[in-house]
Formats: sequence, structure tokens, C-alpha cells
Amino acid sequence: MDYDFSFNVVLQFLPYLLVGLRNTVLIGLIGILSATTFGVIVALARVSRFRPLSLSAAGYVAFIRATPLLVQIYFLFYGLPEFGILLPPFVVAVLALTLNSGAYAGEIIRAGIESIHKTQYEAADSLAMTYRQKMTYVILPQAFRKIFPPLVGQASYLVKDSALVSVMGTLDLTKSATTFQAITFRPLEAFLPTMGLYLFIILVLIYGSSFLDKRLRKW
Amino acid sequence: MAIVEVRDVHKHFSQLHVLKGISFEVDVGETVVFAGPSGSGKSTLLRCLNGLEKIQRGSIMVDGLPVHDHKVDLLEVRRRIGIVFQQFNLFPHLTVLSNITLPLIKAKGVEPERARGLAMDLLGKVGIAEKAHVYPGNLSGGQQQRAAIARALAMEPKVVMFDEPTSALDPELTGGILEVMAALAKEGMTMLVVTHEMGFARRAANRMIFMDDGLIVESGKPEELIEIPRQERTKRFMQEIGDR
Amino acid sequence: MDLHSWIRDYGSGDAMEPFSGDVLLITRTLFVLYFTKGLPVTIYLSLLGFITAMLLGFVVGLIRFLRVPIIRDLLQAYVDGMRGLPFLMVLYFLFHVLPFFDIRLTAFATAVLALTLHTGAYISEIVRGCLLAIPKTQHESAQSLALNLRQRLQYVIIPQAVSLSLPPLAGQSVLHIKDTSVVSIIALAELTRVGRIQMQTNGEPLLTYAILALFYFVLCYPVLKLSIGLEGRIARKFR
Repeated sequence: MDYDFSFNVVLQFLPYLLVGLRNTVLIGLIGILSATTFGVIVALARVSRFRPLSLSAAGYVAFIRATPLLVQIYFLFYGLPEFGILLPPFVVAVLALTLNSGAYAGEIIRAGIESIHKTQYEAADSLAMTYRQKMTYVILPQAFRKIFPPLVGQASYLVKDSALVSVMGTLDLTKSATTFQAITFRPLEAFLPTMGLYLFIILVLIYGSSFLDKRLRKW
Repeated sequence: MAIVEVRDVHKHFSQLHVLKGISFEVDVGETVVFAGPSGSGKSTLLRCLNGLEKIQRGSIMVDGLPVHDHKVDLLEVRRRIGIVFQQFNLFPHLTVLSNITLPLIKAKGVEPERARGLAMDLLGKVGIAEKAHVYPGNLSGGQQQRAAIARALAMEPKVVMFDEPTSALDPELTGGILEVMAALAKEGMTMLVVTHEMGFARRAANRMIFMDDGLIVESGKPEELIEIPRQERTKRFMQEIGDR
Repeated sequence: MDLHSWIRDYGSGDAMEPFSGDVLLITRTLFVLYFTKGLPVTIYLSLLGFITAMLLGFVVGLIRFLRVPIIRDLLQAYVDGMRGLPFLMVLYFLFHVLPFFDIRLTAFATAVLALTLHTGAYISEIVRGCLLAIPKTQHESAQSLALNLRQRLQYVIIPQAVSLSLPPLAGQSVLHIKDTSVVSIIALAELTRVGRIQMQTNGEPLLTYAILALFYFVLCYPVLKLSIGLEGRIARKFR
């Protein structure tokens, strides 16, 4: 082995790392929020009784699940300008992750909604609630309690997937590591801290999700 | 000649002291029924006899082999003492016939042809010969239990244990299983049976042991324990059973 | 621009937003290139990577299930590492670090290695989960019938675990196929990379990536449906 690991180099990498970390965390948080919101919409569309809507939603989810995220990212990044829509890479990144994760989140939420027993719907209806009131105050809160753990799991996937936005030049955690590596040819000093950070964030989310799963079961 | 010797056996499940000094012997050909309230340790006791559970104190001998000695071959012990579980525990991915021939071929080294013959004989004996090539999932509870009994008997054990064999069955199927067991007892098989079925105890058992809270409270002829129990706890239990 | 002029000008090579150039020709070229240059590599990567991942995952899952001391903790660290990292990072790491250790692999070999390690970790989780799902009573039955550990695993536990594992394995294979698109980043000529290069030469990103998506869809959707179907069948069998 011909490698001289140097902590000095790690210190040099630190500024890049922090910028990347900040961006990844930002993309992650915004992405999770918008993906969840979008997921609710997708889920409601899927369970809707209006056939064209539920079928289109089903088709959309199938498309997202059967195509790689990278292809979806390229499609948006290079395709949107063709329609005259010019967005900064950061926004395209969040958009791509939202559309992708939102579909998966939608499936999770849909499963949660469908697991709510019909009697709850009947009770809400007999209390003269409108569709909006019913969903907002009775169905969705119960569904959310059940699906919170798997949603946290989905959040971990989103953070993992966010690494791909580096291909568009977005300066996220991955991009900061590869840029530094390209300049200094010191992969270990760049990648090891980066991987450590990813591990920390993602494993916390993954184990957090199973912890929540067990805690909420008892509830 | 005692084929099962249990001396001062204690068992703990972490903090819980489940068996608090059990001692008894079973002779060849005897049928012993264990009765008692839930949690008295009856099932745990059976499971200690074939090494499924470990004991912390005391000793258990089955057919001359010390079950909990670390030098003993547990597989050999298990060839000599069989068990029929409350939930049947058949292998769902194998046919009834394969359920029986698998241990014969693999654990006893019997040739496949002979194993099949033995298995079919036993299936006939318990009354489900026509179900040999059926999967357990397609059988009724009673049929599954018969298969489980055949499976245990196929190993030609010296002792067979029954852990609440009819508790998971619908009432109308219970009788059939008890008949099979009674016939077995009559043929001279050494049997240890945990059950609530007092009718069976009267008919087929030589002895009944009443357990409560990890201890043997009373033991003797089944009719005696049922009709004229000496201990207060035994009396109360029999009354409760009778009321059901 | 009215329909008449559009038909007249079609194929003349004049720039017409959003489609410029001869759409049919580009489409045909794309299909041919994807089919002959990209698809074989993607399929090969997917199959080879998945098979080796299954072998690795099965061994790791079994060892973790058997709770072999020390090795189990090492393997746990490996699995956690793979689950907690983006696949792209695993790929970059192997690609850039291995040469420093005098291990020079081709891009293809690096890709297969990365895919194997990454997917293998997930498969080992599936294997371990399915082995754990077999009820303790099955172990007890087998033990009571004097079957030793190897026989128990071989004839009772593993056969049951296998049918349980088919749906999640099918689902994992879809994820695996999608991961192969990431290896395009280390310049391996599979479907996505062909698409990227083509887009740069023909200047039609929408068309190029739409057809690319179609190829992946045709590849993945049947497997996806299979996995959902299997889930239903297995659930019914284990009532």
C-alpha cells in the first residue's frame, strides 16, 4: 500500500465538506417535506373513485418505480430547458427527488389510508363531515400514525438518492468529495469523512424508523 | 425398571422460577398424566425431558442417558424419546409422508424404501393412510395431529410425550385423538401426557401427577386424584375442571 | 405555424422547437444503439451482479442468522455500511481508492464489484429476515426428531425460508437493475451512458431520455409485477 493518509489534507477538505453537508441537508429537508406533501396528493389520487385520476396516478407511480432515478434526473435537467424552463440545478435536484420519492411516499401513505377500517369513514359520514373534513380530521391523522415509521425509512432513501444530484453539478456532499478528490488526488481524505457523514445521517434515519415502529406499536 | 428418572429438577426463565424441585420416576409401559393449572410448569417439564429446555439444577435420565450432561449425545436421547406438540408442528413444505420419512432417513439412517413402508404402516394405524401425499395445510386439525403422532412413533422411541395434544382441536375431533392415544397406551408404550382430559386419564392412565406452581402436589391413581383428592389445591383444580 | 407547413417542412432539417432534425432517424438510431450497445451490457451487469450478490448475500445472511460470534459483528458492520451509503459513493470509493492499493480493475469489474457488495448486503438482510421468520416451533419439531443443525437447516428451515424470500428478492432485483444506471458515471457503456452520449451528439434530450426510460421500463416493469404477484401468492400460502 502506497498511501500517506494526512490529517492536514482532511482539514483542507473541511470547507468543501461543510458546504456539501449544508447543501445535502438542505436538499434532504426540503426534499422530505415536498415529497411527503406530493405523496399525500399521489395517495389521494390513487384512492380516488374518479377512474382517470386513479389510473394516471397508478401509471405515474409505475413509471417512477420502473425507471432509474438517474434517468429521471437527466430527463428533467436536460429536458426542461427544451420547454424553455430554466431552473438552477439545486431546484431541479429537489424537483427530481420530490417527484421520485413522492411516488414511493404516496404508496406508503396509500397503504396507510387503505388500512383504515371502513367503519371510520362511515362514522365520519354519519357526522355530516365533508370529504375534506373527513380526510383531514379523521382518516389522515390515523393513517399517518401507522405510516410514520416507513416514511422515516423513505426519508433515508431520499438522502441516499440525493447523492445522484451531484451529476448535475449541484455541490452536495458527494460532489464536494469528488471535486476535492479530482483536484488533490487524495480519495481517502475526501471520501472517508464524507462516507462517515452519510452513514451517520442515513443510519440514524433507518434505525430511527425501526425504533419508532416498535414504540408506536405499543401505542 | 424406571425408564425416566427425574431428580430434584429446577428451572428458571431468567427471574421466573418455573420448576421448583421436581422428582418422579416412570416405569416401562406406564402411562402418566400430568394435570394442573396453566403456568404450573407441566409443558416446561416435558420440554426439559428431551433437552428442548435446559435445567439449572437436578438431573434427568431417559433410558439410562443423562439428558443434561454435556458429554451426552442429545440426538441419541431424542431418538429414544419423542414428543407430540399441542400445535402439531408439522413441516408445511413437505407431504405427510415426507414429514415422517425425513427424520427416519436422516436421523435414523433408515433406507428410503423401508422408511416409506414403515411410514405407510403407521399412517394406516392412526387412520390417515389415504392422506399420505397431502400437504399439512390441506388437513383438518385432527388429521394433522394424527400425522404428528405417526411422525413421533416412526422413530420407534421408548417414550412418547404428549403436550396438550387435543387443546388446539375442535371438540368433535378430540375424541379420535384420545382413542389413538388410548390404543397406544394399551399396547404398552411408555407415555407422559399433559392434558385436561380427565376421561382419558381415567381410562388409559396408570398414574396421575398433579402439579401447581412448579411443584408436584399430589400423585396417585387417576380416579383417586379426581374423586378423592387429598390436597386442597388438587381438590379445587378438579372442581374447576369439572365445572367446565 | 399551421399543420400544412409543418408537414411540408417535416424532415427538412430546419430547427423547429422543441424537435429539430429528423426525429424518425434519431429515434431509429437511438433504438438500434440502445438495443445493441446499451441493453446487452445492462442485462449482463444486472444478471452477473445479482447472481454474485445472491451468493454473497446468502452466505452472509446465513452466518448472521447463526450468530457466529465476532464474524457476525464484522458482517453487521459491512451490511450497515452498505445500507447507510449511497451506491454512488460506494462506486466512487472503489473506483478511486483501489488503484492506490495496487488493485487495478476495469470499469466493468469495478462496477460488478460495487453492485455485488451493495446489493449483496440488502440480500443478506432479506435472507436473515426470512430465516428468522420461520417459527421456533419448526426448529423444536426438527430437534425433537433428532435432526442435527445441518439437517435441520437443510431440510426444514431453509426450504421454507426460500419461498418466503422470493417476493422481496424480486423487488430487490428491480432496485439492482436501476442501480446499474449509476455505473454510467464511471464511463461504463451501458444503457444510460449510451443515452448520455447520444444526447450530446443529437441534441434531443427529451426524445433520447424518453426512449431510454422506455427501455428501462420494459426491463423493470415485468419484474416489478412479478414481485407484487409473488407477494400475494406467498401471503396466501402461509395463512
